[in-house]
Amino acid sequence: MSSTVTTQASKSPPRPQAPVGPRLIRWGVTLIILIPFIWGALGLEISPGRIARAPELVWNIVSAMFPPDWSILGRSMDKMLESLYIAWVATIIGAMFSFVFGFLAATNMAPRWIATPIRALLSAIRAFPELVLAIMLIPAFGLGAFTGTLALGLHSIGTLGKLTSEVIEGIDEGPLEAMKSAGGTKLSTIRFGVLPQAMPNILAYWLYRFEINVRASAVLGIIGAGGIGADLFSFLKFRDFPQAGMTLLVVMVTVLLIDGVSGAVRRRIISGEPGKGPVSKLMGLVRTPRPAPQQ
Amino acid sequence: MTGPAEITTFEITPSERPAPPPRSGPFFVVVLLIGLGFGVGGIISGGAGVVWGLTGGVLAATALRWRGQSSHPVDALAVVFASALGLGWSGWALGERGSSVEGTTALLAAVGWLLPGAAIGFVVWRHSRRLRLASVLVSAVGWALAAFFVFLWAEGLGAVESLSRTAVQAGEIVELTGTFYATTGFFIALIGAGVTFALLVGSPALVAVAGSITFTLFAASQIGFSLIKVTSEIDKLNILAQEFWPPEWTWPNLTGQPAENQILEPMVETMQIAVVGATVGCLIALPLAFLASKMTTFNLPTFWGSRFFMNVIRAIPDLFYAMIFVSAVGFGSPFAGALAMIMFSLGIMAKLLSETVDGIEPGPLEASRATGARHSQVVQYSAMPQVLPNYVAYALYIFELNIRASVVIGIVGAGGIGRLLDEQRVFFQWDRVMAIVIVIWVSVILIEAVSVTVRRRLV
Repeated sequence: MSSTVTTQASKSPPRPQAPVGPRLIRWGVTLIILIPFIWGALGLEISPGRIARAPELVWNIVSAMFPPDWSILGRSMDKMLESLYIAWVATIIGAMFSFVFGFLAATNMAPRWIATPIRALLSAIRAFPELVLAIMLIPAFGLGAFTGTLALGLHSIGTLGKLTSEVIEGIDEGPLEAMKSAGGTKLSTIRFGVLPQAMPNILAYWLYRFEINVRASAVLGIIGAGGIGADLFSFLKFRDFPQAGMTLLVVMVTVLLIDGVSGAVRRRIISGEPGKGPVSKLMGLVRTPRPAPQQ
Repeated sequence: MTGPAEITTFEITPSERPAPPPRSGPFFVVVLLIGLGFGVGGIISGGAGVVWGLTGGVLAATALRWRGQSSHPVDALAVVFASALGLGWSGWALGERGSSVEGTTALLAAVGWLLPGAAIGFVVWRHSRRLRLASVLVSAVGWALAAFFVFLWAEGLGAVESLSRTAVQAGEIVELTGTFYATTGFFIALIGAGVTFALLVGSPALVAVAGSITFTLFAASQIGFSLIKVTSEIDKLNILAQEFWPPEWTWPNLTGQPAENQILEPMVETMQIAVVGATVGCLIALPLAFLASKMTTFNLPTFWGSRFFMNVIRAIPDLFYAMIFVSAVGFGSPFAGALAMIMFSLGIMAKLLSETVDGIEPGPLEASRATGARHSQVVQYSAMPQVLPNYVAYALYIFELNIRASVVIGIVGAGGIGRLLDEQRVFFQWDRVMAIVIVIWVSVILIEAVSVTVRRRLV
């Protein structure tokens, strides 16, 4: 009995030929990636010799930066704080305006003849990189943190507006219909139908934008628009590597810290679980816990 | 058997009827009223702190009573007395200031606001079953903190600008205006009462909002960003129209000859930098992402190590990479730009992809492990197919980001169109800058449109 099974297995038909389609696709994809890459690499004066030497050169710089010059720690922290302030105010500007624009750009909230131009405006703003915006604002507002804040804020309006409108478009229409049928006004529909659904995601996007703005504002100083970027730029220019190392270290630690805290808060907002964070703990000190719901 | 179900009716006897809810206005109106109270008090007082506190206290007590938070005259008396005393101190501390309201002065003046904060917190606590006594302390500290930051803000802001700056610089003691007392009083009370009532309603979110407003005021003052400044500077926007328009599309190069394609050629270089950066970065990110996900990593040390590496790479902004590589491999070299873009793409892709790998179906991985597959085979045949569509979509997205990032890296000397931008910027050739900006803007929009269409087809 068992021997027949084995013979049957060994007599199985020959393996079918692999189909050609997937292989063609694989080759096609490889070419689609490879051809632009080669075109790009040819234009950039990249030779094998340069690539081989690059790690050594970069390592030279990095090892010159460490140990960093601790004497400028205070100065770097001051400048980093300025960058943080810029990022914060820019995020608030972006959040406030994008909140309104987000509603106006959402097709389920505003009529099409309003939503379409607002969308176009938002993507037009978004297409300017922050630094380019800052450069364009300098002739009017001069060098300094004010210009940088405006530029970052404007760019944030563009990105946050798009994200907000997408969140609003993705909400469940059911509660809205219920509210309309109960005679709710447009405003109360928004307050009790849209906001409870959309707000956690919008808030998470605001925090996410703050993380991005911290990085962007650290860079703004390069063109003189305030913050720590100016320091790093001049230290590297004058080849003061230990000081540049300190500046870089301060930026890295700050960004890592803010990413960590903001990421934790975002997860907490999105998951909607009861909090165990410091704010909730403080609340527990101050208030007696809510009584359990009666069955 | 009984007949058809009887229809029973329930009648609510008067004794069972629930008690009507206590009379109460919406709490944010109360918060606003308290804020207005201290604002109006500031105008009336003209610098006399006791008057400031008395007016604010009376209005606050009225608002609290309206909300149904205070039913006893002792409550009202406590609020009025504490406000008068606290703000009397605060006004004295502000009046005694030497050259300006800074650190210590603000701190001294803020201490006075502990009293109204505590009194209002006390009244709210007395009428709430859920609040603990500690809420009085938190309320007081909230008011004082708000006061500290608002005073600092008002100093950096134009609220003191109506004073003569020269007198301040000369070190004279100048009297603060009613505007100063009104603005600061309004904001302090608004934020403070916001904290107190947030405790009452039990919403951490409201505490967070009050904290954010305070921090925003403070941050704005530190970078000289105020509403007054925005409104006074906004007319300067028409300078932009004069300076930037019309764009100048061609200009003579260093040899004095009108150059051909002088904007387009660097733009092409920018795209080349972006392509190379995105391709190499995304390729290197592939193994890193699998190592940095709990699903597919070897062991815990590898996992934490690669995650740390990933986060550190992401912590450095793209232009900082560009600056470092420019000092390493030479100024004006697009090679430095490509290296910077590689690091930039690597950080983002590793992060996005490792999060996707975290969310994949574990079944196929277990199945291939059960057949005795090696680790690399498990990843290749069970994990990879699950994330491939996302990987391609992310790669396109990163290419978009790279275009945006690589137009500016030239500013620090890393090649591409940014170099051109910087050359014209430092000589204030704004009409040429405009031409460059238009080219950048159009290419970014075009590439985004194409990439979004392709991504939609893919995922």
